[in-house]
Amino acid sequence: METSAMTDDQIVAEIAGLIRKCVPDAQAAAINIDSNLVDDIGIDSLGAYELIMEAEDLFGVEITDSEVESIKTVADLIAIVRKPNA
Amino acid sequence: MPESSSAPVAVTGLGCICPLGNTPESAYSAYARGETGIHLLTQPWAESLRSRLGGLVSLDVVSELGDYMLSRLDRYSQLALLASRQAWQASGLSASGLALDRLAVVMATGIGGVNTMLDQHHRLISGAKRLHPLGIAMAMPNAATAQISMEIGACGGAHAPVSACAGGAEAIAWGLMLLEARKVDAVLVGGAESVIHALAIRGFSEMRALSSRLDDPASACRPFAADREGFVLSEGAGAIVLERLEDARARHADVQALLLGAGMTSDAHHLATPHPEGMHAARAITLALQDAGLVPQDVDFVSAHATGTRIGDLAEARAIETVFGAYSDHLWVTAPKGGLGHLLGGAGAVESILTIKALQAGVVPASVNAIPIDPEIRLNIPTSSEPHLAHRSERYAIKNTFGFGGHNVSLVWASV
Repeated sequence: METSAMTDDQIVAEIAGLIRKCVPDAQAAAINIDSNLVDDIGIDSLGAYELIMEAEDLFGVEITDSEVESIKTVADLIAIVRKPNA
Repeated sequence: MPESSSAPVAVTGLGCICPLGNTPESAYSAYARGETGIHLLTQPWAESLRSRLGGLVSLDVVSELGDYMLSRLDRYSQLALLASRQAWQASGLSASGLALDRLAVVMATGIGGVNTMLDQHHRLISGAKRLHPLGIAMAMPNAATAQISMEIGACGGAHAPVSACAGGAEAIAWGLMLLEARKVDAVLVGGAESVIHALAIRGFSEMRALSSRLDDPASACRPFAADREGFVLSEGAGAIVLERLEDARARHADVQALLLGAGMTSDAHHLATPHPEGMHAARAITLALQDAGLVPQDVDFVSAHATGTRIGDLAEARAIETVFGAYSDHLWVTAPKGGLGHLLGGAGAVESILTIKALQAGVVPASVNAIPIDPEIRLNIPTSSEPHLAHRSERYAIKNTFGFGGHNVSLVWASV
């Protein structure tokens, strides 16, 4: 999926779909660009790596392990899937 | 009630998802009408297969399970979980005050999460940077039993016997033993399988175990017929809640049937072919009858394992003749796989549920596609549904299952 022509809201909607695969529905209920993946959404460590795998597949990007460590919020993930070398 | 060595066990919940229907009632209703769940596989991956046949479950699992559960369960576990929900809800046990450390799960599978294993292998060889972090956990043969234990809160043990096509019945036998030994007070048992994939079909096909009668899929699987040539793979799951009868009666549960006995033996003979005379298969039936406190003449019908292979059906027929002798003439022997197909590790559970419903209805369902009957098989095989049980107050049926590796499991079910 090419992110350059997408708005942040459109990417949030796509990421929300991925998050619903990685955390139980109740926890995934309210997802926005500022949501903290652990504190607000309750993702666990295996769920986080599942989300990264899903995001790489969907957006056609490679996310390094050091980038994974830096992702705290949905906005952080959007910045990485938008990165120029994607 | 016959004299048995142990307390009788009650069936208080049934759940079934299979090519004949997605509830015990709808599956039995299709079974009793002699319908088929077997069709030509039209997916592109199946185009080049010699045995392009299968019995698929028609169910919207996405809406049933939601994205989260769907993403972390192999399809075999999805079907197992959905069947278990039906059985658990029907049992009414969640509101009974049952201590959860006295509740166990025994859910079998023949092969396990092979869809997940194949998906992950495909990612691996395609150069994907990441594999699914739960890929191994999803592929495990104990994934379904573990997920079901989480669903119903069972802390009294979660087990996954692996004995190929005998697994579903072996899970039921384990449940019986756990209850008889008073290790638990209730147990959800069953079996599940979903391997309708080129790898499994090619694998069984190389063994010459599958039917390749593509021109008429409904007649492809022909247990006991002279012109049988193999089985057809199906997918699905069966789940049964068992409790000791005294406990079920005490809580005024809806007792649907009784599990009176189980017999388990092993051939010690070959990895894939049964003992030609069915010697230990016969002993499994005899042990099940002894466990139930019954004699062969008490049995109304046998729900045969009979998959439609030349060797297997003959070995089972010989085993039945060995146990029942002259009474074989009066005993109905019916094979459900003609319309259902072969659910491998799910077969013993789903076919037990069909047997229980037949006992309730007082009917011996037809053995689909058995005509012309193999002249070497001298059994009393119903080619149309026989309502002869209706006048009997006590009805008994044997469910046979046999698995690659020489696993023989027979169960004795009774009406209430």
